Amino acid sequence: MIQQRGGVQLKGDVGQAGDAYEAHADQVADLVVAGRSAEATLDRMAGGGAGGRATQFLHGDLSVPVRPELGDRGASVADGLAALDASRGITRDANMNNARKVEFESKLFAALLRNAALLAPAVHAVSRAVLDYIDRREALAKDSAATTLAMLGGKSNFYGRLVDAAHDDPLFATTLRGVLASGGGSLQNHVLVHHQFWEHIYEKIDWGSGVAQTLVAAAKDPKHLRGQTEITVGDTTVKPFDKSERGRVASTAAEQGGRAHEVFEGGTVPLVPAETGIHGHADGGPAAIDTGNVAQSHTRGIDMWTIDERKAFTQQARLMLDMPIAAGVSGTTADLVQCAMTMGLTGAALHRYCLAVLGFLGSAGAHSFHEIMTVCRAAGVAYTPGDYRGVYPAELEQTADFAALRAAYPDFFGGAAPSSDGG
Amino acid sequence: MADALTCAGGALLVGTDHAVADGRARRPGESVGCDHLVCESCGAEVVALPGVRLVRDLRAADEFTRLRAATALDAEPLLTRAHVAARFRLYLCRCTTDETAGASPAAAIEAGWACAGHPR
Repeated sequence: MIQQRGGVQLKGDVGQAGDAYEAHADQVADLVVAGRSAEATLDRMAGGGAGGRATQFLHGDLSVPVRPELGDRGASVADGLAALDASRGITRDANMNNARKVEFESKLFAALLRNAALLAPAVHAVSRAVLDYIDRREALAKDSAATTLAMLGGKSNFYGRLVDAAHDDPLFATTLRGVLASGGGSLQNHVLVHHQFWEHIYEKIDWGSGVAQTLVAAAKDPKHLRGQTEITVGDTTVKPFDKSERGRVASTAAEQGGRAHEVFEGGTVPLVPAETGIHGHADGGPAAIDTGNVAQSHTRGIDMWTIDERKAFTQQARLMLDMPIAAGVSGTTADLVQCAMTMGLTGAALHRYCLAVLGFLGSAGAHSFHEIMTVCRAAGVAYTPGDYRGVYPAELEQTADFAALRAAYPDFFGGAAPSSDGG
Repeated sequence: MADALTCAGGALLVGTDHAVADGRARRPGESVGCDHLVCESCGAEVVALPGVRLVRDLRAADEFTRLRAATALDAEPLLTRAHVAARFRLYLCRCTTDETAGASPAAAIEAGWACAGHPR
């Protein structure tokens, strides 16, 4: 437990992530492609740079049969992958993802965070709307705005960006109000606050009591976007958030004979969670909340969940789309994007908010590109499943980071693959 | 048990602003918590600890075991009673935790929490 007594300070501004993250992403990606452990490199980055996280995706039992909706792709997922590899020459990482795509996604997430200033206006608009909501609910609910703000300072979570126990500091609510109003702090700070707001205030307190419906004319059930999320597998439409289709072992253990959560086999998380310093790593950015530079635990989604290889979302991603998967379709994305929509974001602003979520969750080791963008697609963002093209607005495409990505991975931008391509 | 009743409209998780129905099923329209929840994923009965929140996510099985058996909550380093925590109930089975202020459906818990019937 980390106690914070000096109030909450947010340093820096958005878009200041340094080249160290990109260099780190490169180092880890090189190791992955070379088939070597990136653990030491990950440790050095203490919490994982954008490149490091993707190296620890977990996979499940690949001997499970291929679902009939996918057509003739082998008797088992392993067979299907082998056939795909033979025809396309794909190199896979230890978690059976296309190593080159994992590498690309790692660098993409880093690029998004480095260019967070282009995405920040949309994120800050949601922050201001959340603050306005909190002020207006004061008159309807029993909670003062200060109490509501204090409730947003929960424990550290998978993303580890709100300091443990900071919420018991009287300065927390005051400081957080200032951050939400002014746009200070990092993009990640804001997005995490949005998630805390959505989960603890909107969903659990205000929806059931009718306060949310009173404050927001277009309020919808907090799980609405999850229900709207669909994939098409052959001729079949599947809702990947349905309990029977969620591609995580933890949610389907009962179907598998009551097997306990795999994370806890052996008593601990199998891949040791990163103990992160709060400063100086990609997911926190240089503007993270100041805890006096003490270590803070950070458990990553990739470490917490095991893919259920039987699910349609998983099999489609692996065998039809050849897209990296990490922890299954992203519920946090659904929460965040629905929060943004509820707070009034539409069109281009919503698109940029989705890319902020992509950078945030991707670099935090929570989810892969496809797991996040599948949900964004349900919100109206252009994403053709399995295709990295067409997702980025022009101002991002024009940055030096995206020029570098385009040069290194032309095939993911509509060009031909480099001749040395391994997949 | 053949004549057990389950919570009408689905079980609720509730913060300390709401009561937990003591040994009985939730009646239609009632905002009371269920005191007999079982997790479909790990099979464990869900334990509720009022007025506390976690200081971080739990990462190991023995942490779940320890908190499920905890009686001296003030002495537990994984818990905090910081002032807004008084509004929350911390729920935990053996694989999942949830903190609730207000009221929310247990069915929303991904691991699969459901009313196992009343009386026990």
